[in-house]
Amino acid sequence: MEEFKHLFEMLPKVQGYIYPNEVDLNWSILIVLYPYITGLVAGAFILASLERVFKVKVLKPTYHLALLTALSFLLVATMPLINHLGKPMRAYEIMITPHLTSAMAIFGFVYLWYLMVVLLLEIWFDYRKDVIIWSNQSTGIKKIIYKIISLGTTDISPKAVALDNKMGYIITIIGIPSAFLLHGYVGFIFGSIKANPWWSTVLMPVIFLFSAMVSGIALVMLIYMIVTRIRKMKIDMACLDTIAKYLFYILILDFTLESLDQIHRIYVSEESFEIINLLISGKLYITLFIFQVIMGTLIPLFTLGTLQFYKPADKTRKTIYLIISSLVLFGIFFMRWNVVIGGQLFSKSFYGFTSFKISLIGTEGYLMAFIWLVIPLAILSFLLWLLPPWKKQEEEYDPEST
Amino acid sequence: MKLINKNANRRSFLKAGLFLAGGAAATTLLKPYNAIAVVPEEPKGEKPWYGIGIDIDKCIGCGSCAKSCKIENDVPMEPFFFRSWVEQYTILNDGSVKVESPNGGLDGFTQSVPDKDVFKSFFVPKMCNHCSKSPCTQVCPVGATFESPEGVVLIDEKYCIGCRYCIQACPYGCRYLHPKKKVADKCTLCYHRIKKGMQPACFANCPTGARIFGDLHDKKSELVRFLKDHTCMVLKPHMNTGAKLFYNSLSAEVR
Amino acid sequence: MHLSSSSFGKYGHYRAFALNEIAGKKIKYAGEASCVVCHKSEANHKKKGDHARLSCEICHGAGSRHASYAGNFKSKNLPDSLLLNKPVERQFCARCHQDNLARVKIKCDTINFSAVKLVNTKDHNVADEDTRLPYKCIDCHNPHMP
Ligand code: HEC
Ligand code: HEC
Ligand code: HEC
Ligand code: HEC
Repeated sequence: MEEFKHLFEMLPKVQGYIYPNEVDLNWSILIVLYPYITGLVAGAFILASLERVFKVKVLKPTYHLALLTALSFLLVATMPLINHLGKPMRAYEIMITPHLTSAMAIFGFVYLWYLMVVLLLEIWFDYRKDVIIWSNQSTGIKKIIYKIISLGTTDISPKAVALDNKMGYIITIIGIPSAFLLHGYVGFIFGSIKANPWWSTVLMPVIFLFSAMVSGIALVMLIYMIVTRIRKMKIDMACLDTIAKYLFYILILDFTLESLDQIHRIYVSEESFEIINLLISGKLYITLFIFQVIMGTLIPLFTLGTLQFYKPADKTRKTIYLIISSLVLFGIFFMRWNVVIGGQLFSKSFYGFTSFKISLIGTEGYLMAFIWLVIPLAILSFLLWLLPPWKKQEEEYDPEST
Repeated sequence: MKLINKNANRRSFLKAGLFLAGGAAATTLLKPYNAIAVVPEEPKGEKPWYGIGIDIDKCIGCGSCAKSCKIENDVPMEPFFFRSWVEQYTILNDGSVKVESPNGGLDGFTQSVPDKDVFKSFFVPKMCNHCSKSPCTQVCPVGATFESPEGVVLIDEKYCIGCRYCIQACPYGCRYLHPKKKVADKCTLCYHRIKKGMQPACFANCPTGARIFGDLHDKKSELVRFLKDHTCMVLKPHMNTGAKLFYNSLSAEVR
Repeated sequence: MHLSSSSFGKYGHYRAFALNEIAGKKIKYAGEASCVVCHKSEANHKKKGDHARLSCEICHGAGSRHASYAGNFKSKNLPDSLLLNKPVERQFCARCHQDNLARVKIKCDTINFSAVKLVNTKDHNVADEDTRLPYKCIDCHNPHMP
């Protein structure tokens, strides 16, 4: 009985009629985290590639930071998923017998491709020279780590470094579509469920992609400000302004797409319209309208829009950026929440709602979710200690001087 | 399935159209009408291909099916896990629809609306539709749920990883996560019984013969005759799941 | 561990052994044919009555274990674990026979057509008029031949 207590508590909260198997919500907060974290990865990577491929030089100070952020979140991205499985020990099956018609089956491969081929390789080529130099300069355990990371290479002749740069460039070019793939694909996992009208829309992958960029950019912005503050260095305002500009543009796109989706829903008004209407005006009111739309989208949009032609003093701008990037991150989290949780709150019979309650502890509680969000930050701190972007030797331009 | 594919003309028309539009490559790649390109086609030949018929006019809502299903298949008794359940629809005189399924109908039903307010009322037994283009097997990432050669959708409980993607993908709400085994679970059409030539438990225990189980390939089977004699409908036809559970007198309110 | 199950992919993208595993599950509902062997009189009654279409196990519950082991106890003293329930309460018959608009169908000209005969169990012979003792349905109706 004890183990079903939460379900029995849920029963009186059911409104209208739901299929009896629907009382229990199957995908909870961990599955909210999964698209959130992969989104941060894809977004951060795309910001990094802006600098590299499109030669947006002002973004230089955040380039390596963005890559390392992407890596540290990517390392954790699968953990909430595996954590959530009923049989985590069987997760390997997804690699040995992937079912090709399943959107989820390909995740392992997309993930590995992105981790191994794109991010790790790119970072390795970027840092190879510096790692070799650092391994000569340092002692003890750190030296050993650097030796391992350099994979035995020692050549730092200009020719070899030029090759590194070229490889990095090529990988970035491969990386951009890969980042699109990674996150567009996560959107497809939801968008392809025809049984669920809240998920099943062709726009889902695109919406996920743009919201991923928005969140990734906001994250890099926030981390850049915090890290610079901790290092007691001067924040590069030109860089921040440029990031904010991109954030603004992509936020516009994201908002347009999501509005388009909703307008389409309202206009075609399919069978599921009534229940979805009730859903967003009821159970999702706070998380959708207040958190996602107003706090996470409209306020940042107006503020960033204003900043495009009116620039207050640096200090004010910094505070604004700090608030805005946090708001955006908060808003995108609830965007994922509204998709994942919202999609399960209404019955597929369209006759009623179940409700959602999570506890603090337990494998699917707040605490666990919080842990999965903090671990990437811990990894990032480690990576920044090991591979500090600001200690890299730059021939062409010095990031500190811009 | 011959019985439901009456749109052969439309299919060839569509094929021709695609041919003109997209060229030969497109037609070989995209098979119209089969949303799942890789799903096994209905096997031709003598082998059985099971389907289900339910006559809503005959259902008296006694819940024997739901009850015997839970017992036969060791489904947890808590009211959150059902392979088979019964819903009572009551359409009131003011046009509103009331749907109930207290404990899945296991304990029977009592009419909760005063007779004078009832426009019409009926029971709808629900269970897995054993779709031939089933969205749930389509999304299983590891191949733990599949369609047996007899057209029964099954779960390999030793292989399921418990990701619950299939539960999300089933439009009919027929799957649940088994609370003890932590794997997805669903109706097997009493595969262990039909393989021994018996009726599935819910069919064997229906007092009125509202449930008809049979082989769609056998043109003399009771099921095929049932489909011939009645105007049958599947649930959520727009989902194109290739459902093999056919209802007689299905009202539009039923979802 | 099924790192590489030899049967995977034999019929499709799944473990072919799973078919046998599922098919090998134990049966709980033995079916009417098996009851008839030992309970001829009940079966004969039922065959003639209006409950002919009802399987024994609808009323008596899953009887597979009973059917396989009861033969060992000719003494009529079945151990409790093998006993099947005998549903004698009014409530039980009401499951199927209670008046309920959902059970009434209006078909062509047959008004109140229904798959079962309905009574309002709340006032159909509730108690003996003289003695005021409550009636069970089976006091007047033989459950096997109502
Ligand atoms: C192997 C012979 C055998 C088979 C098969 C069998 N029974 Fe029995 N059953 C018995 C015996 C022996 C008794 C105990 C003696 C008696 O009451 O007649 C009994 C008793 C019963 C009782 C009365 C229990 C009680 O509390 O008094 C019921 C009800 C019953 N059986 C139902 C069934 C049903 C339903 C089936 C089919 C699933 C079935 N039996 C199959 C031998 C059998
Ligand atoms: C409508 C429900 C119903 C069905 C169907 C039914 N029974 Fe019964 N059966 C009862 C009830 C109620 C009793 C208890 C009668 C009593 O105590 O007087 C009973 C009693 C019995 C008994 C015990 C008789 C005794 O003297 O104690 C046996 C044996 C039995 N049934 C066998 C069968 C068999 C075999 C079948 C199938 C052929 C069957 N029943 C079908 C309701 C049913
Ligand atoms: C599982 C459902 C079910 C249960 C339980 C059940 N019955 Fe029936 N009963 C039926 C059905 C179905 C018929 C009609 C069969 C037919 O017409 O083919 C019927 C017919 C009858 C009839 C005959 C009506 C007529 O005149 O045609 C009587 C009397 C009756 N049942 C009494 C009872 C009693 C008394 C009980 C309790 C011991 C009982 N039933 C339990 C399903 C049930
Ligand atoms: C005092 C004896 C008695 C009791 C107790 C009794 N009945 Fe009856 N029942 C009858 C008689 C006599 C008839 C036939 C005359 C009639 O139609 O009223 C009948 C008829 C029926 C019919 C057929 C009605 C029809 O429209 O043809 C059903 C069904 C029925 N009973 C069910 C039950 C159920 C269920 C119970 C228990 C809740 C029950 N009976 C209790 C005596 C009884």
